[in-house]
Amino acid sequence: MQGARPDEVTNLAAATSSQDPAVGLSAVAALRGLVEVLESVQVDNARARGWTWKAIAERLGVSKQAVHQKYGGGRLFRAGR
Amino acid sequence: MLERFTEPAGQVMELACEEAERLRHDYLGPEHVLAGLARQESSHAGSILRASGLDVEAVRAGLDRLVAQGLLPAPWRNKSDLLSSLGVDLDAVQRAIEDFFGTDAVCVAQQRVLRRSSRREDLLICTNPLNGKAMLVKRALHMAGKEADALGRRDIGPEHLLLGVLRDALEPVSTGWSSRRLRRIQTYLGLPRHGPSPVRLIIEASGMTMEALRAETLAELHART
Repeated sequence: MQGARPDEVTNLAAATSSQDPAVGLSAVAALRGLVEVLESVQVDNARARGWTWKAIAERLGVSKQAVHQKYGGGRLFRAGR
Repeated sequence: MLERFTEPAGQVMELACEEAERLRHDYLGPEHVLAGLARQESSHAGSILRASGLDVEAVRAGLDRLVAQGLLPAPWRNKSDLLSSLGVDLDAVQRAIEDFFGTDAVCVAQQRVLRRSSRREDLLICTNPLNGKAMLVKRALHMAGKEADALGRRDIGPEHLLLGVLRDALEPVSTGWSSRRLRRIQTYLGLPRHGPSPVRLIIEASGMTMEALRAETLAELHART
């Protein structure tokens, strides 16, 4: 519970125990959503600094094709920035 | 649709966001818009609601009752609290990433993620991108536009918003792929799949009917023209 504000912890504890799968699963889904956004921000930044897809894929620990498929989409569609 | 909104209608949407925030909801629904309309002092829509016993206190009490009954999401379901149960401080993450990359970059990333995900119905309010709300009011806003069209108006005011919210609650959602996706989002957010809409429940709890409210709003609009 580090970093959580006291009222949040109380909210959560009052609503249900943290052993509850409904909380645990929802928390994981929220975390997954956050990770996706963070990954996307970092990939954008790396591309803007001229990193190759290969270098990005190596740092992410996935294949070049995987990262290209997920974030490629061609110059035309890369938001005008 | 949003570009057709008058300034008071835009204000209603901001108030609606605050109402969603009060309940720590991760989405913006027609029930929050109803509370926003009730809160607006200056509009005819607000006066009509208050005259029908639906002042902001009554609407808020109705919302709280639905939360207690499990018909609206409980506060623990919001992203920020869920992540803090894992020891992640969403506000801190957001501050750090915006300091490095700027709000725009986070918005672009968030929108790209949503385009790809199954939660595609989401549309973001970019003031707080990592914690943006799912827009479950699209249908009601669309209906508000149709109500304005039917009245020969280009701009959408608070009264049209009220009509849109009422019609959205009056007409059941059709089945089909897009509404199935919408239902999945609703379930994830902790909204029930079936049963009467929260808007209907709140209005009827105050002894009013949606049809009567609709008739009064239309009469008010006609009286003005």
